[in-house]
Amino acid sequence: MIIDRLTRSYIHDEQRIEVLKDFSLTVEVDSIVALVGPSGCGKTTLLRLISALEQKESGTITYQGEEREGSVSYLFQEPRLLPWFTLVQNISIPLKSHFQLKQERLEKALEFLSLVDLYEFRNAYPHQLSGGMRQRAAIARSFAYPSHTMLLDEPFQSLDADLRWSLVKEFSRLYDDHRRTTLFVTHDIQEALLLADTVVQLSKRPMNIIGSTEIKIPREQRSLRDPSLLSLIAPSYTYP
Amino acid sequence: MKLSTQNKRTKAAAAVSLSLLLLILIWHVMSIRMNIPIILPTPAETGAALVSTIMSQDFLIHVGTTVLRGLESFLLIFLISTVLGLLSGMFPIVGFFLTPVLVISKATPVMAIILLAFIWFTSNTVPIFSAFLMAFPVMFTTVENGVHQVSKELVEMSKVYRFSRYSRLRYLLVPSITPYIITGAKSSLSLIWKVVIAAEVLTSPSLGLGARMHSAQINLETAQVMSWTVIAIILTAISDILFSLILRFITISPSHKEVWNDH
Repeated sequence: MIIDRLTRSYIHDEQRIEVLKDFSLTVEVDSIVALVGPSGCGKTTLLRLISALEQKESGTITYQGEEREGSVSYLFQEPRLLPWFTLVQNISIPLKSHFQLKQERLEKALEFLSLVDLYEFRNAYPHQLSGGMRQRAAIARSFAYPSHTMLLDEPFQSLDADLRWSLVKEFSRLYDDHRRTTLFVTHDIQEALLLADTVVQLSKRPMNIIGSTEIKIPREQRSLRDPSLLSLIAPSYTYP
Repeated sequence: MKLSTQNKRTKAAAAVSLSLLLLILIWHVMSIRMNIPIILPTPAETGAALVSTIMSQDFLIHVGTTVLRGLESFLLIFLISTVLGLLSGMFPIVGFFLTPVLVISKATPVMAIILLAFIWFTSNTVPIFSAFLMAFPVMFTTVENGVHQVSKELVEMSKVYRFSRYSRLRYLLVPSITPYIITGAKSSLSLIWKVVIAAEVLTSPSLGLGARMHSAQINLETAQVMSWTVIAIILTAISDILFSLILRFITISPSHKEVWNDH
């Protein structure tokens, strides 16, 4: 995915605030790029432009050479499940636009629910589950959906520490079997180190790239106790 | 926790019963002291009139006619307000277009609408028309508000995952606004009974609860007027209870619980 000179601004109190100005970034196919930067710098705006939730002012986003509004999976900060439907329905309903047969949708939904260990809760409603389980269901939904791009907007942020690491691990395991081009917005450098192939550090508004680090250690071997992993991010980098 | 809720309920029921008894007592004392049954019959006399009214041959026809008129009006309101409320919630321009109708029907006195309708229509149609005009804004506004309350986060989710128009309606909009539709239906129906009966009183069609009330009043049968009033109250109470039961069923069923708690 090539993001080329993307620009987006907002009008606030009659003042023009430039969030993105000629922002460019290349994400290799089927790799995870983590975007780390101060809050409010425009990371979420970038994801919203890619997912077409917002319109860009100028610039292009191309996927393997062509500019198209691709199918995108989005993991939000909150699970955003439909409260009136069971987990299996929550995962199979978005599949309607891609699979004609109900049987096919159900099988796919159940397959991914099993992958996140929620098979036995397939007929439970979201409010009957814990926050961590709901986010796991959202992860299952984003992988079950046949997209070529995956956008993660701090999806582990609202969970407590233990749960967070177990979910990061779960995501990483699932990702290795179902790869796709992924942008991972976070302000937690440790999450980025565990998941990303490339960690991109960003400046304040208007957002710019101030550093980029490639991580060669295979995902399944990474640990936060490993000094060689932690040393990858320059000690000078302090996250505000 | 459960015990204390039950305790509260018992206390509430006791307070309501006590207040009702007190009202009847005051009524009784006043009518005894006044001693003019044409102006204020005793509760016992009214009760006797109520029994004889209910036992009378054409009671069911009168009440049935009123109920049918109310339901006819209700059905129209339910369908039209739901569709227009949905449209207006989604496309504000529809709301602006309807604003004059809503303002006029909210601000015009019920009696003015009934009198005008009586000039235009027959006495059978007036109650249905007037009730429609009075209760339409209530239901419409509730549904429109329901659409505005649909979670923006879920709408975004449905956009990202490319829900079709139909899917968005079926899986997101309709379940979100169902509690609002039921609440709106409940308040509009209790208003409908009042307006239908008022229109019947003013236009005196051959059948109907309000028409009986009017003829009893002309004949100075005060106990009769009061017993028809009690029947009108019971009618409203029955429809309120029915809707409360539906609402409770929905809020108890797990699929709606969270939404209901959210709002």
